Amino acid sequence: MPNVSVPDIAPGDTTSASGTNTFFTDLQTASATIDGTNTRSEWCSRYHIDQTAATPTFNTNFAQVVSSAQQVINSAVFTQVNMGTAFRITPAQPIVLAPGQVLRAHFDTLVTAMVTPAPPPANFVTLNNDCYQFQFWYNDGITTTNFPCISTYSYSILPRLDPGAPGVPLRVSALTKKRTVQRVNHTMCYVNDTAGNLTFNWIEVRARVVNVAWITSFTINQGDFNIMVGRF
Amino acid sequence: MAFTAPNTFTTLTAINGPLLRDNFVALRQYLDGGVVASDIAAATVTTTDIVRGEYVNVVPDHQFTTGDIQTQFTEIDDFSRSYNTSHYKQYDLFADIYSIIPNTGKRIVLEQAANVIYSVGISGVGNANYQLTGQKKASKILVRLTTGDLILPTDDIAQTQGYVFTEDNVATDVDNSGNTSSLLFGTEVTGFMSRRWYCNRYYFSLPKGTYNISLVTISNCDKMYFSARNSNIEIFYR
Repeated sequence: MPNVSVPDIAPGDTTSASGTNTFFTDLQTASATIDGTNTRSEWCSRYHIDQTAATPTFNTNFAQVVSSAQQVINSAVFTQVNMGTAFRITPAQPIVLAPGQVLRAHFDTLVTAMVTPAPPPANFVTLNNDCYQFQFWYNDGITTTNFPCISTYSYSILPRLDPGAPGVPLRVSALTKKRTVQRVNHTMCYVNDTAGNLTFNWIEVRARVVNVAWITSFTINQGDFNIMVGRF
Repeated sequence: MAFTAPNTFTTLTAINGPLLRDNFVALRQYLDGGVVASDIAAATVTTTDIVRGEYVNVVPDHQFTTGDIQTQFTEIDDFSRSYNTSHYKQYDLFADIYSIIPNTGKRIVLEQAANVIYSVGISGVGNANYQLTGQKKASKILVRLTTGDLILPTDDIAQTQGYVFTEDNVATDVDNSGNTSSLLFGTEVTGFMSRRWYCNRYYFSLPKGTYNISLVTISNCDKMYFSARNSNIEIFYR
C-alpha cells in the first residue's frame, strides 16, 4: 500500500480544497492495495478465510484410491499395484512441493494368499528371499523413479541361518510355517530438504516379490492408498 | 470495496464542516470493519500474518493449516485387554455380526468440511471355539465410520478389512506347516494365521457434522481379547 500523506496544515492556514481532495483521493487509491505493510502480525485467523466453496487453501492435494478387486503379484520387478483400479494418484495440477513442505503417502492392504514352491528351495532363508515388498514411485514430468524407502514383509518363518556356520548342528523343524492373511502397509513422510521446488505429476504404489524361486506369487485385496501435502 | 470519500470540495468555495466530517466518518467506518478481500493485494498474506495455534493443541502450529490431532488411545500394557467372544451371536455363532472393540474409537465434531486421517494399530489374541470344533473361521476386523445414531451396512469400510486371529486345524494340515486356516473365503486357505497385528491408516473427506470412528470385529473365537491399542485422528480443515 503506498504511503498516504497528511496535508501539512498549520494554525492560521486557509484550508485548501484541492489539498483536502487529494488526501481523500490518495486514501481511496491506497485502500484498494492493502498489503503486509499495513497489517499487524497474526491478524489473520480462520474467520478471515473464505471456505464457503470448500476449496482447499492450506492442506491440499488430498486424494485417495480404494480397491475393488484383488491382484496377483508374481514379478521380481516392482510392478504397479492395481486392485481393480490402478493405485496411481494423478492430481489435476502437478503437486509442487516447496522447500520444507511435506508429502505424505499411505498404503494399506490385506495379503490374502501365497503361492510357493513345495518344498522351499532350502531349509534356511538367506537375504530377503522369502519376502515381498512395497514402494512408492513418482513421475516429475521427466523421470519416473522411486522414493527411497521400501517396506519388506516375509511370508515364511523359516530360520535365517548360514548353513555353513561352524558349531553344533542346529535342529531345524521339518515343518514350514508360512505367514499369510496379514494386513500390511507402507507409509511415507517425504520432506523437501532441497533448496528448490519439487514437482510430482503422479504418485503410485508398486509391489514385487524379492525372489520368484521362493515366492511364486502373492495376492492382495481390500486396500487403500492416499496422499496429502502439508503446507505452512 | 475500497474506501470512497462521499464528498469532494471545490476550489475557492468554503469547505463545509459537516461535509468534511462526513468524509472522516466514512473513513472511520471503512477502517472499522469495512475492509474486504478485494482490497487486499494478492499473495500478500504470509505465515507471519496467520494467527498461531492455541496451546491446547498437541502441536503449537497453525490450527487450521495442520489440523487437530486427537489421540484416542495408546496402551502397551499386556494386561490391559478388551475381551470379546463369538457368543454374543446367540443363534448362529458364525454369523457376520460386528461388535465394537472398546477404546479404539472416538467421536469427533467437524465445524466445517474437513479431511480426516484415522490411524490405528491393535493386536488380537484368541482361542478355539469349542462349540464349533468342526468349523473354524478367522475373526475379522475393520474400520467403521458412523454419523448419528443409526449404524448402516455402508458404515463398515470393506477396504480396511483384516483378520486378527484364527484357529488352526492340524488334522487338515495340507502343507506340513503344522497348522492351517479353514473356511476363510469359502475355500481352503493354507497358512499360519494366528495372531495377526492389525494396522491401517484411512482417509476420509467429510462435510461438517458429528462422526464416530472405531474398529469393529466379527469374533469367531470362544474367548479372545484385544490389547496394544493405538489410534489417533488428524483433522485437516481446508
